[in-house]
Amino acid sequence: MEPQPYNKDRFVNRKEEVMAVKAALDSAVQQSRVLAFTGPRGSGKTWLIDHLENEFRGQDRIWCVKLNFESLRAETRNEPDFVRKVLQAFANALAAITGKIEAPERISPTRWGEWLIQDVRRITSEKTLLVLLDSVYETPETCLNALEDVFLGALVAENRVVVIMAGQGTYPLWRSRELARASVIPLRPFQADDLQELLEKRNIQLTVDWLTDWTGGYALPVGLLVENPADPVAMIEGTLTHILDNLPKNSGLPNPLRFLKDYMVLAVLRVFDEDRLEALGIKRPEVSQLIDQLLQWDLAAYQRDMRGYVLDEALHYLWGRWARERQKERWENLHQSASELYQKWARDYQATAQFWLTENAYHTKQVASLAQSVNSKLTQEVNHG
Amino acid sequence: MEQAVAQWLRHHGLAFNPFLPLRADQDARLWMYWVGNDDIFDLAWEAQPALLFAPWGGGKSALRTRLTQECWSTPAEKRPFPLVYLPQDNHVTLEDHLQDLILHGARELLLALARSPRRFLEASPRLQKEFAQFLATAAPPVSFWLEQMSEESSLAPLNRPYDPGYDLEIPREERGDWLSFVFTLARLLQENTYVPSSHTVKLWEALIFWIQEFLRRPCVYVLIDHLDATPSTAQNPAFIVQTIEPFLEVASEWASQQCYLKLFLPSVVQEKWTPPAPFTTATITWSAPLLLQVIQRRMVAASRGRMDALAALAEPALANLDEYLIGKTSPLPRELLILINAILEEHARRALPRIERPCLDDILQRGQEECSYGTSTLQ
Repeated sequence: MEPQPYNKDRFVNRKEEVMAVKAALDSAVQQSRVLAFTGPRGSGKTWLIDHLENEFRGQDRIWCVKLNFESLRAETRNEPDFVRKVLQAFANALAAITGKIEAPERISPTRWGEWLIQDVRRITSEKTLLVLLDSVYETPETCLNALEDVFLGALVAENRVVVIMAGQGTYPLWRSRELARASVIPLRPFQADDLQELLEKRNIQLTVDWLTDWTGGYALPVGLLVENPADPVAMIEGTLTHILDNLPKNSGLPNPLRFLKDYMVLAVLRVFDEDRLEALGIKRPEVSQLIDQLLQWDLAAYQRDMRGYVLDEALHYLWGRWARERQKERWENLHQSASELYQKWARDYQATAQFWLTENAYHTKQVASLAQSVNSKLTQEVNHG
Repeated sequence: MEQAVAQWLRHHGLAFNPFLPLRADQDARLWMYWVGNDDIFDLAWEAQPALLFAPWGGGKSALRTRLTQECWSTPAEKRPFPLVYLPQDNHVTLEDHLQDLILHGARELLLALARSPRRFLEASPRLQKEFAQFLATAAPPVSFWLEQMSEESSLAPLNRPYDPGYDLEIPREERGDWLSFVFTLARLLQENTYVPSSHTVKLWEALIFWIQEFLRRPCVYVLIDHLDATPSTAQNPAFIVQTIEPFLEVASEWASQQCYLKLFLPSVVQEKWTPPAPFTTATITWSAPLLLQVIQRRMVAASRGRMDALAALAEPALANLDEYLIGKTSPLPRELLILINAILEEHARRALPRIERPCLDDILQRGQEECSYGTSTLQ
């Protein structure tokens, strides 16, 4: 189940993000600005970048350049190769703007970067340059650092330049403070009024609550479900399979559905580590290998304030929703086991007891909500017949 | 033991030991995880003379190194030129200091030009010749350095043991320009017969001129540090003030030439001395949240964003390990890093799969006997 291409008539939400970009463009005369959007898989980063291009390209006082690092880093052999591809793409984009800039031949990346900056200075004497960069954070950091040294560091230090980045995972580490101090804006899932706007725009007879319950408000499943609302469980399964199928090529994941079933505990726990996974049924050393694999896929990260590893937000929601439908009994048992584990930990580890009690409350609530949902379904069935 | 710790950390998904470099000015990765108050950094970064205070182990050299690394970041022509100076404790006159500063500065200038040789190659032959004359006087070993660079095909002979901030390899595409630079400069030095004035103040002014002329840097930051590192100056504020006195006298004049002094001073000096104009002052202070960031950013850098706490390497009983360790040390980053290194070394030595309470308690017990951190257990 592939993500749908950007369609401006179906774009909703992100008003604050668009305003933030507009404010950056307005203040770019005095200073350059860097904004970085972050969000889990399927949160709508690429649609936002496309929407920003649609909003600002062609405006009176703005030049717009958009590059997607995913295609640029495909089949690159090394850092210089990647840098050259980015410089070439940027040069092409500038040429498209002015119609008169030609890329020099046989030039070192350093000189090419300097040459492009001269051109940027020329075109920004009259207009502000908006640079939209997608799929940035998935790029190896050695490639990004090389690009920063040759070009990106100089670009963001120019006046009347606004750089917008998006990508999965963590905002990268940069040497120059203009990049290191970017405004990092997390993209939140769609809220009720966003979904309402979408349903009205598309004239679709679904309720906001229903859509939120199935998708968590994450853009990718929302887009898919409004297209085909007949079988939401199949849609979720398709989305999950798409995410798992698109992990790095050497992921060694032969069967996504098997993975979803075998490691369902990841969809049950809000936070996990080796001990918790082992207590809920995954044996050593498999448990360490699983965590290593999730980290390598950038599907999980350790968060100190959560006291453990946290799965990619959108994946966690959809996987949990899938598990609740497809493996109801096991889902309930796992929540029950998790609740018992946290009760024990709260007794054993008093220094962090409050934290374990909070987790226990979460799992207790999940079990209760399932019971309530089964009960109301049963009541409906009885009433109907 | 370093290797054992590195291997232990690799097993946990960390690419390197981010807690190992106890001296910030020897840490090439500091830019990845430097922690400090942005306001203090911004104040230190401004084009004005500044006095920056902190206790021993409180982040003076880290701030200095971070400023230097920022000066070396792209775009060079918009960054100040960093001239790091660590005075000898027998230097008391401006003449003493200037002689060292000129030699250091000429070496740094040569290093910067070797990294961007076109600045030199695109200059007129006359300017190139004058520059060679300046170098021959300011840095007599320059011919030797060039010879070494040429033999090694690397900038490494110009490297110095502090403030690693940039790559010493010459990119393949730049090698042609680099060779032209080395050979042209070597030839000019051989041809040089004219000996310009060796008067130190004139040479100093010439150094500033060449930094601005060839490198096109907007200004120069003279970063003076390690004033509490020598036997005569440690815990001797009066001697430190005496050492820096010559700089205080020329600070305004240098500032008018876009050359700004940044002095990194121990807090003991601040207690017994009123800083003169035109210096702005700032004091580096530490709090528990900032120290948490010290651990967090180092973990994030070494794990490529996948872990933000040392607790990721610990058993569940130590889920609050980071906060706990901060409570066990005085609020200074160096002391925290020393403790974390001791913990990592002991766990690697005992080949424990992760950080465990009994081992941690042993280390804290031993630490209490040897230095300051405490002994109480987590519960």
